[in-house]
Amino acid sequence: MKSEFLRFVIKKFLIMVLTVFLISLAVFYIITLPPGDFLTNYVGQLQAAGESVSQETIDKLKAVYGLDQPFIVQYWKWVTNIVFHGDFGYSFLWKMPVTSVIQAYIVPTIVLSLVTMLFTYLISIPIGIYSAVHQYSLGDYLFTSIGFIGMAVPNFLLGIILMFIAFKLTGDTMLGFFSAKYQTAPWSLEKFIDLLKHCIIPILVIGLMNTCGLMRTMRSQMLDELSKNYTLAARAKGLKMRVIRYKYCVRAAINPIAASIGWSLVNIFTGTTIVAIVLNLPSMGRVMYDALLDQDMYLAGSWLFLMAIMTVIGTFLSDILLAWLDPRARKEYIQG
Amino acid sequence: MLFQKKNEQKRYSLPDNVLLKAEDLRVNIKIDGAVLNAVRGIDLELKSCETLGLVGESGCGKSVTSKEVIGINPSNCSSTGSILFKRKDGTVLNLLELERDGAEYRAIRGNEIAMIFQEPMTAFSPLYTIGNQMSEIILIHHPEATKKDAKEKIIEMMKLVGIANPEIRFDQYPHEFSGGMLQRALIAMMLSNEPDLLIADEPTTALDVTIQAQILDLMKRLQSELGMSILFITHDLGIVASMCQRVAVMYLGEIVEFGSVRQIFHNPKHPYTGNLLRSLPRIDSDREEKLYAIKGVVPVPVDLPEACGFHERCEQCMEGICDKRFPPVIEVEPGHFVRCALYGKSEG
Amino acid sequence: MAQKKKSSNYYYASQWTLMYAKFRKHKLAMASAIILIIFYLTAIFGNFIAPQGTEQFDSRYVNCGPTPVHFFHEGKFVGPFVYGLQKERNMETFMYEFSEKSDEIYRIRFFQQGQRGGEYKWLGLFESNLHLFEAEEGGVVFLIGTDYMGRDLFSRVVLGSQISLFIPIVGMILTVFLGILIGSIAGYFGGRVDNVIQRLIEVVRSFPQVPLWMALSAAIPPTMKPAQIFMLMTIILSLISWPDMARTVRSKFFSIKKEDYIMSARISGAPGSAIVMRHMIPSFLSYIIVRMSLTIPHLIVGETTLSFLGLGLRSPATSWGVLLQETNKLETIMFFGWKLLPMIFVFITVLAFNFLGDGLRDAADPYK
Repeated sequence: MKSEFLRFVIKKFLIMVLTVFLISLAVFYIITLPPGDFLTNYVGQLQAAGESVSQETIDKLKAVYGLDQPFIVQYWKWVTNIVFHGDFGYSFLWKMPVTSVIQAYIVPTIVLSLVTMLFTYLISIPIGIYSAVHQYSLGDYLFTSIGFIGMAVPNFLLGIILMFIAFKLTGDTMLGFFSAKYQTAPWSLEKFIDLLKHCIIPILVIGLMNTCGLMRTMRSQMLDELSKNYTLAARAKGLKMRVIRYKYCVRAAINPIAASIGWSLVNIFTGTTIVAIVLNLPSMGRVMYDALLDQDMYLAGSWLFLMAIMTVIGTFLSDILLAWLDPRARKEYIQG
Repeated sequence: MLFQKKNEQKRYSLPDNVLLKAEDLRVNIKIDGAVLNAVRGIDLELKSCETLGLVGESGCGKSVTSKEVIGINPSNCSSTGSILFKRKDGTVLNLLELERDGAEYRAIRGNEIAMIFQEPMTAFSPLYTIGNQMSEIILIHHPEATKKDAKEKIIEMMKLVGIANPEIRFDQYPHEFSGGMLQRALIAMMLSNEPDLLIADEPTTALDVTIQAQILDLMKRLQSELGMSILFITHDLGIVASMCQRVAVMYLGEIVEFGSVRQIFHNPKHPYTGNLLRSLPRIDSDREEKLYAIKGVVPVPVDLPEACGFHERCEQCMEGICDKRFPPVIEVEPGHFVRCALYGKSEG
Repeated sequence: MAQKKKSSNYYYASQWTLMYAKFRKHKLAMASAIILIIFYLTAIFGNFIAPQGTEQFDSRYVNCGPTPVHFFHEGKFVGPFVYGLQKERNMETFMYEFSEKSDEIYRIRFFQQGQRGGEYKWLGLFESNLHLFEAEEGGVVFLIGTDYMGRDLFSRVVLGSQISLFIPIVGMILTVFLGILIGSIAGYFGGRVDNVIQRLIEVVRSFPQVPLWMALSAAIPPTMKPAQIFMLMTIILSLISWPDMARTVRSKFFSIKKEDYIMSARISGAPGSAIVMRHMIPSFLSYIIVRMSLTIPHLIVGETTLSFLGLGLRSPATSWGVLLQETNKLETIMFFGWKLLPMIFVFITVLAFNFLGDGLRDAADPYK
């Protein structure tokens, strides 16, 4: 069993590596998509700004990025730079290496995502269980409708509406992470509270869609499990409903939810992108957006690449987790 | 009709040799705003150590009846009438008065009444080992037992039902068992508290024919060793003939004929029973002969008219009688009851 | 007896009759279907229903709030009319504000030739200048206000819906086509083909959808013609949303393949394409229909989001997302709240499609 499981993990890992490779090809293709390479744009920008760029410099830059070479050679340069030097290229918008830009903004993004994720799971799973156990009750109808509407509202609209409401209520649109007066102030309790206040809308906006989705999944999974034959057998044994629900049904219903952690992470990351743009948060979403508007493709592409890799890793972990949680799936997966 | 003996402790009483008695049991199921009359007033009596067959087509209410006895119908089912059950200590309870998942009912389930199911493959959760799930039944009803005691008892039971290598099997998951082995495990589990009544809801339908025979033999053996009554639900008349002493034939939520196996098989009175027997393939019949099929389909039990449930499909239907009122129950010979207007004394 | 008739009909009814009967029971889904039909008809007859064209503007009425439609003047019924508007500078905010002049009455007239321009070519075929409603000469009616150029927002919502409601349908058709094609190839052939397609699906699914949409749309040169951008957007939207469909179709194929009736069709020598077309696709047609109704709102949100971010359609093209670009300005939130009103149409449409899909999903399972 142990060695079989290991083999399964290794197999999944190899598939993951293959997927990452294919993703990198796709990402690099997107990077080179905009008409005219970025160097031309860059040189154009420099010249527009009144700087003279010698042909020599242009040639040198071209050689560095292999721009005069075929796609596959350029790709090879790009990938080896990432793998061996951790170099994702150069951001012409920021005039610094992409890695530095990402480093500067990744922390708030990750913190915001993890907090939202925690919030999402803590809320959706208990509500999903409640809704299923009390199917067709008032509470179930209430949560189901909220869930439904939450799934349907586009993120950015919700963000704007909440900003509008916040403005009407408090006179502050809650843009950014801090109010103006705390922006440069040293850390203090007031500043922290200000931060928390500013986090409410982003968490609501990013989390709502995901929470509603998970809630619905949990509810339907739970209903599924509650109607399975083994609950009948368990009742016939004389087991308490509570034990049947929690020992058997919740445990079984949670498996697919656990398996969706990878996807949740993507949804949340995607969510942060839009929310960061609408609410003007200093996180990677905003950076990517600005990069896209300026066709600073190395920066935008790298961020896309990172998100895709995170998804793949998330999926990989989910697969392993699912196999580990569900002995039957373990057998199927390992053999299949 | 029955000799009632006063019991000091309880309002209800049953004769010495009777374990379970249902009277005018009705079960309604609410689905999508409609009410299905799944069981429409049945009387049933089960003696100690006997096997009673409950026979009928799918949808006739036999499964609902059996689940009502053990109290595991879903919450959209409501029931009236009474199901009297004699506990191990001799007291008699009306099971319908108990709260469905209340402590009192739970103390009976798995302990005094047990049930095995049609699909053993789905009767266990795939997430826990067989041993874990089987031990539960000991731990629930014997709070003083340790996990080790439970394991010993379960392994003993597994040996009893013929599961080889029970120590290894104990720690395996359901997907590592075959269907037949799972049914053995389910039987072992359900019988480990030595219940007085075992409800077997088509326990062999989902199994191969050879495994079927093994399971039936096992049940017969265990019945004689442990001394229990079996309520055997099936649509297979062959199994009834080999397993049961008495038979109740159900149609559309009613018992249309009740009697000993010999009476029912050799002298069927109700046209439905007759049709059922005629639709069995016979080894000695002419090869050219077509297998008999009852015409029509079972009606949906919603807003049924005051009439014999079978009249639309009955070849001997008497217009103006069968489609106008319920036929009464007639005792055609000692212990042989039939609900059919053909045998009434008064003609309409 | 009637009861019996009904119940036996229930047993012999075709799948579609059952689905329709069940669908009609889902009140919200029925209401949604009606709303959507109205919206689509409005879009088709958009030029007639909108009082103005997309680009007609009036610099006198920049950032003007909604003009209420009245029926009674000083207690007397005069039919629908609007008051004249008066522009004043608010001395606190230094913004122009509009107020009603209660002595100027302009009736709203119906089915009139537009006076303030607004000729159009309906469906690109018939030239016309007929409009559903317009205020009398001298008056203006802005049902949900105007934008920063003095364009009537209601007209822009109606005309924008022509793009916002139809791109998703084209995109949905593409998505479904790709999904079924790729999914059934994987499901039918299995083996190595399936393996390759699985990897492809995995790669596309690994990208977070919105950022990928954004990246691809950013690559559309801004100098392109609106019609070309329109086409590219549609392709981009559907290129990324097919894998879900393909995955489900593939797994359905695998489970159906094992069914006996497919087996018997095979044994009796039916060719592969016939098995797919005659047996397999019908068996999950209901699923596909449900999926279609749920793909559309997804694509509506996609188009709206991208255009809203300035990465999709750009002015002068008009879509709901383009309209909503203005909502992301602080001054809109602080002073011109009515500019958020077009959101309601996006919201209603998306919600209605979701309810419709939900109703269809319920109906697709008629025996449940």
